[in-house]
Amino acid sequence: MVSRNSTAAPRKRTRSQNDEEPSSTAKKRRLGTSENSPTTDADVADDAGAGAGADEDSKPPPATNGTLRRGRSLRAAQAGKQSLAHPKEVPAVEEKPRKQPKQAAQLAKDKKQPKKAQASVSSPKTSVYDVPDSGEDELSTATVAPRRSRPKSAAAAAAADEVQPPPPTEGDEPPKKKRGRPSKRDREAQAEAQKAAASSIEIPTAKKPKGKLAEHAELPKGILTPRKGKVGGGRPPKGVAFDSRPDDEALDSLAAESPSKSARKRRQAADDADEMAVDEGPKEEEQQASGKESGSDEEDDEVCAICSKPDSDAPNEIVFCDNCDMPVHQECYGLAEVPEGDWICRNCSQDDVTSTAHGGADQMKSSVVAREDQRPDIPNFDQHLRSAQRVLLDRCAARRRIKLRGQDEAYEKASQLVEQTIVAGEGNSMLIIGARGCGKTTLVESLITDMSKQFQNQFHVVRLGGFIHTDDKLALREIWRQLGKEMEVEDELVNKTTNYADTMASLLALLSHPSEIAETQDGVTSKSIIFVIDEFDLFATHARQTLLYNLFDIAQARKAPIAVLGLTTRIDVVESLEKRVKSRFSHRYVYLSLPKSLPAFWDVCKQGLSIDEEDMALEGVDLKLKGHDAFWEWWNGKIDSLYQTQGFKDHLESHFFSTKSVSAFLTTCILPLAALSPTAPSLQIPTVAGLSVSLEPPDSKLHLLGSLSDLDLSMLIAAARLDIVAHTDTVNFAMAYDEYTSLMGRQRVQSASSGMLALGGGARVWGRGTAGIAWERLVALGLLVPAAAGGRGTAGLGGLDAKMWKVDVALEEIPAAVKLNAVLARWCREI
Amino acid sequence: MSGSLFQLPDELILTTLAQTFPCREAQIRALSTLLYPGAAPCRNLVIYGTEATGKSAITAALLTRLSDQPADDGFSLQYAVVNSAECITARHLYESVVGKVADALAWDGPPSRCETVSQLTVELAKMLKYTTRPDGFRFVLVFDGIDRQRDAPHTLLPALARLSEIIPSLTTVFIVTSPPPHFLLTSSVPHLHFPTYTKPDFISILSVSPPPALPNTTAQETADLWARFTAAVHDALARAASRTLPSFTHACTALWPRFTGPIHAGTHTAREFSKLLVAARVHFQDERLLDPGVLALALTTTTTTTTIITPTQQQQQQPKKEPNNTTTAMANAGADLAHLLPTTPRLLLLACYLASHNATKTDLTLFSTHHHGRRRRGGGLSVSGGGRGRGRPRSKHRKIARKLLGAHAFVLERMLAIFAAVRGEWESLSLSQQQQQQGEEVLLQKGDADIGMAIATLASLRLLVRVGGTAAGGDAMDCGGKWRVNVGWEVIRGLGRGVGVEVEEWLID
Repeated sequence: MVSRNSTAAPRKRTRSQNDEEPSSTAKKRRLGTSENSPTTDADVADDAGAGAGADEDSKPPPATNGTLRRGRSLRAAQAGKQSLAHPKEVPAVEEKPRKQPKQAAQLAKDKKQPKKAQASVSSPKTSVYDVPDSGEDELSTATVAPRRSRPKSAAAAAAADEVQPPPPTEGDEPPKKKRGRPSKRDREAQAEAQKAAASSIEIPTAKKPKGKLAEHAELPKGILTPRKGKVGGGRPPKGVAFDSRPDDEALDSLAAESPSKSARKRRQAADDADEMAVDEGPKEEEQQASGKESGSDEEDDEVCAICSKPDSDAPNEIVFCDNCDMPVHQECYGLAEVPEGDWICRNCSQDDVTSTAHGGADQMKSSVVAREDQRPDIPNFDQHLRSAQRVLLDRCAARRRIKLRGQDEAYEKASQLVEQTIVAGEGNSMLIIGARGCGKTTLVESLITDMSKQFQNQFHVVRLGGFIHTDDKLALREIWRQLGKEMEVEDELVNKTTNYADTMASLLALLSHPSEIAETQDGVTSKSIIFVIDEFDLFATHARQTLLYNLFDIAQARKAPIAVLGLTTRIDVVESLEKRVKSRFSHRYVYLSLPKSLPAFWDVCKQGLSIDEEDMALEGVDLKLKGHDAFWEWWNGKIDSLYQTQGFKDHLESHFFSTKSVSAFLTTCILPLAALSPTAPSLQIPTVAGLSVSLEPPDSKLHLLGSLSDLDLSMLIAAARLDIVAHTDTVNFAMAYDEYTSLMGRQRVQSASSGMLALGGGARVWGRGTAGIAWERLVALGLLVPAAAGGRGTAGLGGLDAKMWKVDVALEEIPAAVKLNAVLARWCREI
Repeated sequence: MSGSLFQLPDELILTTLAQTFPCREAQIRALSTLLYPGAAPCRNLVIYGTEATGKSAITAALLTRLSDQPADDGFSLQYAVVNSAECITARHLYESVVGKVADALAWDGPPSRCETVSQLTVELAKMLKYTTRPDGFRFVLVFDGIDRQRDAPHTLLPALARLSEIIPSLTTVFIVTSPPPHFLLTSSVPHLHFPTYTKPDFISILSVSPPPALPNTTAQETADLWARFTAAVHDALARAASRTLPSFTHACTALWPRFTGPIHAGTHTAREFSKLLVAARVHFQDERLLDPGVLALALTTTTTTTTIITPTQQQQQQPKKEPNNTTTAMANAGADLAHLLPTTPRLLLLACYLASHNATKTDLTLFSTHHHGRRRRGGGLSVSGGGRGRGRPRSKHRKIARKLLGAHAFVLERMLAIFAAVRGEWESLSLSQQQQQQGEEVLLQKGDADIGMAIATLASLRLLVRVGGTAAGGDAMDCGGKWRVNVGWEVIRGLGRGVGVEVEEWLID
């Protein structure tokens, strides 16, 4: 038997693997049927006899014990062969017999043993004989097909098997035989003890197996011990498939002492060693808790990281980095000769660190120098430029108003209304509706400026804002305060009326026409008042719209000359007014629109880059300074030529087509304008990438992904995958970490089998604590948002593990937003 | 006159600042342009970026220097920084704004109450608008971490953005992590991005302060070795797991002594970087460097760039970190917990876990002895399929293991029933496990009295939590009360093994 092992094992290995699965399933099925329909002892024995085949069928039913032992030994021998041929298979083989008895023991204690014997006898038999037995059931015939290919060795094996009597088998293979048994017996013994202690009802059924066990009572000890010893020392080399090599131990010790082989070179002669390493690979991997991929397990598929070719010949060999196991060709990496001892790639040795630090600064300098160009010959150029910058930057930064363009009609309408109020004392109300940044405030403010020039001291302005004055009480007090300030009412009066009703009453008194109220206060005249209400729609949300009602009522009833100008972005704002408020509103509207065409847009935007002739004096530009005309001619020429350049046109168009927001465009002009200097006076919009920072807001949260570490990204991807894979919209840390570890596990298996390059830190599985930190970081960055309170009822409880979150990033967005390494990219791609 | 001309701030300020904060020169220049009264001061400014990228520190340092500058060219700047992490409520925020602005302006008015944005506007207008200031004056108000303000009304940010419309000489700066689009609800605000440091950035930041020279090594060699070492640490730890400057700095300082151990011992010289790297490879894989439990005592080694932002982070992460720390601590001390608790509470806790993690409908299968004469355990088979780290067959939509979903609430009565069902078996298990028949037996025979006590003990240790509306009132022993187990799988598994119970066998997925 031993001799056969050594010769037939190489081929046997694959075959026995094939056999293992079907035969064991057959076993299970049979057991299952025996569970369902209880059979008698005789039945079982008969069955066993039939299953056992030709060499056993003469045995009478009472000899089931003998059958059992024989079958077991055969099976164990099989297992032993497998363990010799393929060390990794051992645990699996061990597992099956152990589980089998455990299940069976619970239901059919005494019937189990013969049944098992029969099953286990039949399976080695089927592997031995070419032609399936008639007693064999159809399940095990499935195993025949792979066997046919090698009739000779099978026949030899059969011969050996038949010749060999049971006692020698036991003597020869005692350690293997015990493989399945001890655990079962231990378990049963334990169960016995427990049952005895708990005085359970199952004692009668449990007794029989115990008695059976007692027969083998002395066997375990004597047999177990040599086996242990064998595993430790006198075991044949693992790679039975290949000629055993003496330097096997050397390889072993090398694997144990350092995670990677130092500067391994490929040689044709070393092929055998490589093969050995293949066998050793998985084991070694298991041993290393660090999770580092060792480079040794995929030598055959190792390709150069640069040219992706696997060939490795004398002048141009593949060299491995000792830190990250990156394989490269000597020529690809520029290595003249194979280095002795440890070799570390440039990436790991961090040679580039010091050089790049200096290089960056130089680059910056040189590009700044490149921007210098001719300075026009204009007197007082420096001063002209700086004053122009002052005005233009103030406009771009929204500190000076730019003129309203293309909104003349709206302006006329509003101005007429306000003028009527001031001059004729009419009460009026009007809504100014338009998108953000279209010039509502500019319109109103320039209106007021114009009016105050025309009618000095004939009106007051009260400004309210929906965001600031969040309820009517605050708004009223604010009105009172502003009027008091403008009318120079004493502070005491203002401060005295803290009561809402008092404020209202005195305000109404203040606003009402003098003739209506008998006791007119001195110093309080009936001047016109213009109310500018910003974010008008928010005032409509206040309780009962008291303020709006009163203001509109005053305006409509001509109690006092007031004009109410409401500014809002909502076109349906009137719908939100109560009926009584709506009926008092004059229903006058002014709609402002964003620029309708690109030239119109440029017309508005141009004010941020150039000053009109008529505005010069107004903006405080010194007209009399020498060279004024020449400078502005030069400057306007510059702006016009800038407008002609394609880059600038694209920039302008992108703003026009995305938002039409003038102020957004002007914001982008701030830094280029500020960067102008007499030595570098030419404007560059948009700025050259990389030179300066952009002032534009980020598009989405995705910019955050760039700042995540690999682990953060892995957790995020794992959580986002769960969205799709497990069809949940909420995840917690436990789920995401579980997904992460299983992905990581699969990844390691794949990289080990496909020979893909393990990507350094990417192959490392991080512990729960570190992953928890990563998870918290994702939360802090807002990439995970808390699921609604009460989602699964775990909100706030259960710590980090159980709290439910929603992933704010979709899986498909991740690869687009950030450059992922190959592993993470695949996780995003393959569901 | 001077006020009408454009002028950039003093170049000297910018260069010194750029040396203090390496790799942030572009941001410093842009920021100074946008804040300096003589340049292009804007009304609102949003500064955004992830944690520990120098947002707060650079803003504060720049403003300090700009305000210290003599006002001889007609431009003067005052500033106040309000950190939202220090303000518990919105009102707290308003009042600290008023207080800090008054301090900065040396305003001697009486302190006033300030409950709403409206009042804040009035107070600020009093100090900045109605008081006449020189032409080139500007006040910069910095709201640090305003996106993390607690109890903020939803109109807070738009309202604060309107302050500078009302008060022309005010610049408002918002420092946030990630601005949602149009979160200020005004037309275009300049946004200044502080990107994460890249690898060369990290290295050059740490190279600013190299460690003292090693024995038998020149300072230059040490600095070179330090640079290469930090790069290696970056690749091993920072990029892989924790990409922030504080954790990176901490990892470097913690690893440096171990890395240079061979140099101290004299076995290697500072030039043999690759040999040192191979020798220290184990340390580079040490995960404890990043783990909070170990980090806690060494957190003082943060650099200046992070001193201001850390409170923000801590404030944010505090509530979540707390339970995590206890959980991991308990996971480590799982065995300890088993030692500390008497047997009955331990078994009760296991029963609670089963009650929390098994569906009610499976109770009959698990615990009933009616049909089969003995209990059928769920068995590890179904559970191990969804086990941690093991591969499992994938259908189109995978089922998530129940124990990953967190604990569910259970009715106390059900848990007691489960406990009663498994008690006999488990107690004998634990007895045989412990081999201490005498003492335990006496304890166990006591009956129901100690169950109530045990539940109370578990509840007071927060291992068991009362949930539902009656959590505040009601009798704790009310059988209809709902509870939830508050310990995780690792602890329970350890606890179960401590008493000889394999908890996996009792879970049905």
